Amino acid sequence: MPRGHKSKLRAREKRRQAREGPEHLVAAQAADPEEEKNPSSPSPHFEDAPQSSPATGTPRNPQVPERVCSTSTTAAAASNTAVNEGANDQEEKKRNGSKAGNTTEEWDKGPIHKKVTILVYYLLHKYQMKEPITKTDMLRNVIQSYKNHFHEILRKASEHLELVFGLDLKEVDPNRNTYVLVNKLQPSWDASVNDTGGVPKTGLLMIVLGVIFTKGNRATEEEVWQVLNMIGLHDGVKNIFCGDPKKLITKDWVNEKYLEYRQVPNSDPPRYEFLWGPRAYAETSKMKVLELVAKIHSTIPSAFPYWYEEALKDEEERAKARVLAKAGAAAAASARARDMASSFSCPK
Amino acid sequence: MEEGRAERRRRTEAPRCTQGGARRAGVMTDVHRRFLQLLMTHGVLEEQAVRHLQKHCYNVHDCTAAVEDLEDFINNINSVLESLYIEIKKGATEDDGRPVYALVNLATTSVSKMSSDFAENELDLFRKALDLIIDSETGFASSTNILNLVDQLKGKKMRKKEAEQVLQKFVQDKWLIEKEGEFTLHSRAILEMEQYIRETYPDAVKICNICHSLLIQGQSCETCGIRMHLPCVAKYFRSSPEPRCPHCNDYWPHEIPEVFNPDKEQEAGTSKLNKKPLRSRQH
Repeated sequence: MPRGHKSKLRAREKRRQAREGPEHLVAAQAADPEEEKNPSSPSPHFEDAPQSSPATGTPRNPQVPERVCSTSTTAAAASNTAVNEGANDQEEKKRNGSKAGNTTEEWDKGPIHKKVTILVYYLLHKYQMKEPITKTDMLRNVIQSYKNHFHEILRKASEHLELVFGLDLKEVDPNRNTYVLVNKLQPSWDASVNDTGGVPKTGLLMIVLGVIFTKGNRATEEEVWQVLNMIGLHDGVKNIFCGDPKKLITKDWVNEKYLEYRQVPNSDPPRYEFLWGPRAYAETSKMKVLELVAKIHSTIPSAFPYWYEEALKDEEERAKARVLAKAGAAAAASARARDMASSFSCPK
Repeated sequence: MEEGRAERRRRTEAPRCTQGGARRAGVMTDVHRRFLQLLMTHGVLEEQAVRHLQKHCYNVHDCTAAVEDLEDFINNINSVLESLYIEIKKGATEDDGRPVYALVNLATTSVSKMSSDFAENELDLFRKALDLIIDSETGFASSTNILNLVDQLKGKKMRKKEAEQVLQKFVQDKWLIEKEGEFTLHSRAILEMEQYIRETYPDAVKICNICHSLLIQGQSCETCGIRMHLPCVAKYFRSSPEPRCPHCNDYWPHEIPEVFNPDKEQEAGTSKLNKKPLRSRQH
């Protein structure tokens, strides 16, 4: 493009936006997805749907900003004091300090604010999908024509996410402008929403491992259910935090190698038992599990001398294994070095 | 900026728990944040589960304050969510009137909540199913009829086998409910998309004569054609020995269902959770 042409286009675009206001905002959003060259690409298209539904001929989108505006004005009227008291208070003060009053209004209720809300949904969605977010994605799917306001829109969105949802936006790769949302709230054993996602491996799993350990490293299915029933989990009853507990302990955790679930040898009718799986051995230890058992009983591990001794032995063995592994690695390294040295000193 | 943020956060947290009864609308604490996060993950939750969730959030944060009344708790959160055009909306299941809650996006009127989870052709399949559901008399669309539209889908070509699986995904994600090979909208979809549906199908959409909300399943008067949700019928005709249409006063010909009683639920124990609600198609 000839020099200067791009800036002319940008200026024209800006003038057009200023003239048309919120209607244009929605139209632009509507237009953009259609201009996208690959409709089958996996990246989400916000507000794509209304465009493709031919049911009603008249454009429905212009109705959206009206409704939204009326909602926001009544909402603003009703909750003005309330909202100002809370989250937005400091923001207002900050902005008022550095800019003129009317800019604050523009940011709060205008098209920028709409972009902020859409970005909030977008980030929340990416968080639930456990996908990282790139600046490119945000610009293409959400920010679009408001590119120049990217940083401000992102800042406001991340403030909302922090204050309202307790999620922190962190830049993980400044070179590639990649971000993730991190849960600020302390993880609790129920947390279905946490950084690593999925069912928490702490808490419930540790309890099951504890049962197995304290029953002599194998626990019958009845013994495990006895304990689960005590904490409110029952066979066949979906729990809102763990889903189906039976599936969790007999399938999911078995597949993930945390548990082993097998028939008690020579049992007729067949009965089943649980053992620790290899991954449990790798990721935790008898001592850690005993610590949890002790905590539950409001005491310390040494209050259970038999198990404590077993846990200590386990710790010793692990320490030995670590030393051996290190020694082994060192030996292998020095062997390699010797080989290399000999190959240098004996030219072929 | 970091300091400013931390300060602000501490201030909004304040000694929320000690203020117990005094309600200052618009203040979020970690109790509310955790609640929001968990509700968001589940998509939609029944009232009983929501109460457990609320109590749980108080416990996790060692909050010794009395658990706030659920309605106030939710209104509190909603007043903060307002500026983001999100809301915790309360609705009811259409078949047996169980109260449910979902975190709903008010600003966009589309299938936007779904649009990021599904591919273009999958979304179009949903829209086709929605067309059939809205047009139907019973609020149900048969699997066969939906699958027959597979050739008309936008985006990548989809085979019927694939489409069957996509429909199952919709059921899993609580957008559709399946009963005996037919599909209708899950209460989650109704809560999320009521606005979108009203705008997309202004002529075909059905409204309940009692609560004036969107109606997918319900009963209708054979004389004048007005419709009512099953739970609305249950409440309206609760103690009437002779139920009559509120509009034309003609005798109401359908079986009057029972009003949903959460206390009965608790007595019956947790077995009810696995019981499939009775199917009623009375038109």
